[in-house]
Amino acid sequence: MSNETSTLKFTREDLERDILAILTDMTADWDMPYTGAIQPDTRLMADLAFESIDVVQLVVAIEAHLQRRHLHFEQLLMVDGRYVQELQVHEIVDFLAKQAA
Amino acid sequence: MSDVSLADTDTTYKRFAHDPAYVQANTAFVARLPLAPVTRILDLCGGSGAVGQLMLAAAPGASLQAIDLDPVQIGLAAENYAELGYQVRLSDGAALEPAGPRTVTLTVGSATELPFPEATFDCVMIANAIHLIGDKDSLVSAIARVLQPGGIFAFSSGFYTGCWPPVTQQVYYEWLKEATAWIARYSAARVAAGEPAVRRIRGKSQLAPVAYQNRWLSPDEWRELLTAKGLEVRDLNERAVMFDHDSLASVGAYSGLAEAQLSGYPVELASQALAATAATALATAGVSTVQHNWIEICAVRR
Repeated sequence: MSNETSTLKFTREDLERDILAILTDMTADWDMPYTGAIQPDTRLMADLAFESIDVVQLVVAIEAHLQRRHLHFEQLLMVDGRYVQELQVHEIVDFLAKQAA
Repeated sequence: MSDVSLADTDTTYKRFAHDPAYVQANTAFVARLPLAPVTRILDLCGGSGAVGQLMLAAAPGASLQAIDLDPVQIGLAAENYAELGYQVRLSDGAALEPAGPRTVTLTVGSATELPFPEATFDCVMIANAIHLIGDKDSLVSAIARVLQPGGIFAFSSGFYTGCWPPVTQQVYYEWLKEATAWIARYSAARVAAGEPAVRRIRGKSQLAPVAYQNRWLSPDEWRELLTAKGLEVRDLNERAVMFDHDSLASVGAYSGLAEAQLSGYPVELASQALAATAATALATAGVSTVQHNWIEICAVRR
């Protein structure tokens, strides 16, 4: 199983800024009750009403931005053999920062 | 055009219902059940009747009442049971008088709203669908109500805590990514040909609630829930089922899966995208099959 890596380097601050921007762009035309700015503690399911395929499309957008594929997001989405019930923005950032370290 | 042309695709469950790995898993599940003395079976989420037929074959003195939300599946079940020589009755939801052996009654309806008196059945079964029902507490209560003392409740499910080894998780996730990329290429090809792009409409699918909302139970949690509802677990088995490219393509083409996994896209397009990209997902992970574990439970009403 190969990880296609790019030479781009991202700090945790870079990653947080970029993920927030991707999410803001992705949800710009969504019809949802959540009206505030997306923050690190924003919840993808409870606040943004993410459907499963929204999570996939977010992952695709992140991988395209980072110019990396196969980041194994399934490891973030499944814990102890079942899907997580909620995911906050900072958890995605932490996951990516750990991979970048 | 490249790999993204549309073709006629059977989007019912019929194709996967005949998949060899799926048939083998269902046959093995039914073979573990003590069905010989059973006389009245309730098949919840009965679909096209693939597993109900196996149940009836193992319980030759039984009649079967099947319920499914999807009228298309009920129509397929009517055809399939009739072809096998069963007398088929269609019910609008009202409980019918008990029928004799080799009679199948089919109803479009919900598994959680059972229009039957207490202790009506001596066997209630759900094959590979219990994971779709959000309120499992109410479901099991309803099943316990319509089950006679000593009657059996049996189910199988490929979605529970521990069902996917890590490589399987990776394959399934890559599959969704490949399928969305396939749709993007299809949409781009349409635009290049002067046709409108494919549009996804969020929030409309009944099968795609907020992501991961429908929590999977572990084997121990299933045992705990059943026990609390007066059902004693007599058999709990976990079965490793190996799906190859054909199996994944078959289940991917099923509209129910496609609508849930690629919610908001036209369902026929989503079905084709999943069917067309199953092989790529396997190849990306460097495997030719994936292990998908199934849980099988048989419990007795106290």
